[in-house]
Amino acid sequence: MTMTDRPTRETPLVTTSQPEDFFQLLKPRVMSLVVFTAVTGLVVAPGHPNPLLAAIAVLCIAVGAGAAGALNMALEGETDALMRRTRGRPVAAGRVRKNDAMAFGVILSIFSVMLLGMTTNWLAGGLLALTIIYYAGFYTLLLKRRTPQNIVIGGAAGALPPVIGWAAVTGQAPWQAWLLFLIIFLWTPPHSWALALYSAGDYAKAGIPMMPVARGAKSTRLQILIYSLIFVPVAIAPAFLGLGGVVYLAVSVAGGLFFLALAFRLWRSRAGDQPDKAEAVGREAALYDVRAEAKPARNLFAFSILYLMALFSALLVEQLPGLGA
Amino acid sequence: MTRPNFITLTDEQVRARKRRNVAIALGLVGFIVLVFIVTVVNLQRNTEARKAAEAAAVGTVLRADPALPAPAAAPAEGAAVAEPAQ
Repeated sequence: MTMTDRPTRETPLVTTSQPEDFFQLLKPRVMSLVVFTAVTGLVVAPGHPNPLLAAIAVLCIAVGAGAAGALNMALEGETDALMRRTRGRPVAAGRVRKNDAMAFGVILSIFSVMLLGMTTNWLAGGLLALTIIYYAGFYTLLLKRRTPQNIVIGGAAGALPPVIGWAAVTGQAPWQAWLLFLIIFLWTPPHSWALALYSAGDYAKAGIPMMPVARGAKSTRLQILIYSLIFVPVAIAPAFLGLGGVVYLAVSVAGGLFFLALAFRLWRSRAGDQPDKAEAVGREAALYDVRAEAKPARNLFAFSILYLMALFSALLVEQLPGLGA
Repeated sequence: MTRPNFITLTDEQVRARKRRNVAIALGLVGFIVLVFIVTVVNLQRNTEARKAAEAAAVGTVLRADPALPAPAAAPAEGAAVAEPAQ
């Protein structure tokens, strides 16, 4: 049990990383949303895929998304260590070495793309590869530190899974698939900026020009409202374009109005004007533990997740016999 | 002769390595199983598609030859439309 090498201070020679640490590299919470939206694309698409192959396709999409997360954590370890929300991540906390995370991400990327291509078709495989490269390469390495529009442009990576699911079934990516893409793409800015409004101190410390850091809280609140006004009609659109039915219409309209009400309240509030609670009191704070002024931002952040899940759930429910669009 | 700079692993490091190795082994076995399943399912689908295409081709030849009597029963509707191989 001996090894020869030269240890460095940053990268310990021998690691005690556990398999669970590597699982955490896959960002399981993000992965669950990716799986959900990809399954929706897969189910809503016309066609009857072999259930076994469909399950393997979903697994490939999940692993591919996880691989992108692992590459992101490998590249962002030092930055993650500066922020409360991310300092517990395996690379940031020193439980997994950067190179190990990188190798893990690359290997999983290759395996997931190849297997998806073999299982379904190479359009789906190519879109998964594009998603990984876009997120890990384009967003993490180039966009994130250069522009306050980082999450607007980078949001495309998170919006692609339903298109991949659709392509896996049909071998094509028609406008209906891109409409699902557009819903997630337009949902991302209000969702991410609402979170950033009460974590701006962290982003500033890490040197990431998130909108509240670069343009200030007031401008961010306005932009959240503008994006929400664009997002909600697009979220309702599938009900009028043959993709969603009555259930979808009810969910998208009711949820959309509430979403707009929260965005309006946030615009009228002073969320983000003051340093967030954890900074103010100098202790660790939970994701939802914010000062009173920032509560409208927290509420929109929390509801945005619920609304997106509800929209895609409605599309799924309508595929059940007797509830078709 | 100088001895290489050996280090001795602690029990914790050995345990962690063993768990990682088991996880990698399980992952590889899982991958092999998935590739096997995909291969079998695709092979089955392609075989069925080929049979359907051949049956349709035979029907076409029989219909095109005026010397032969008309086929007793034309191939079933849609039989010629084989699902394209993935």
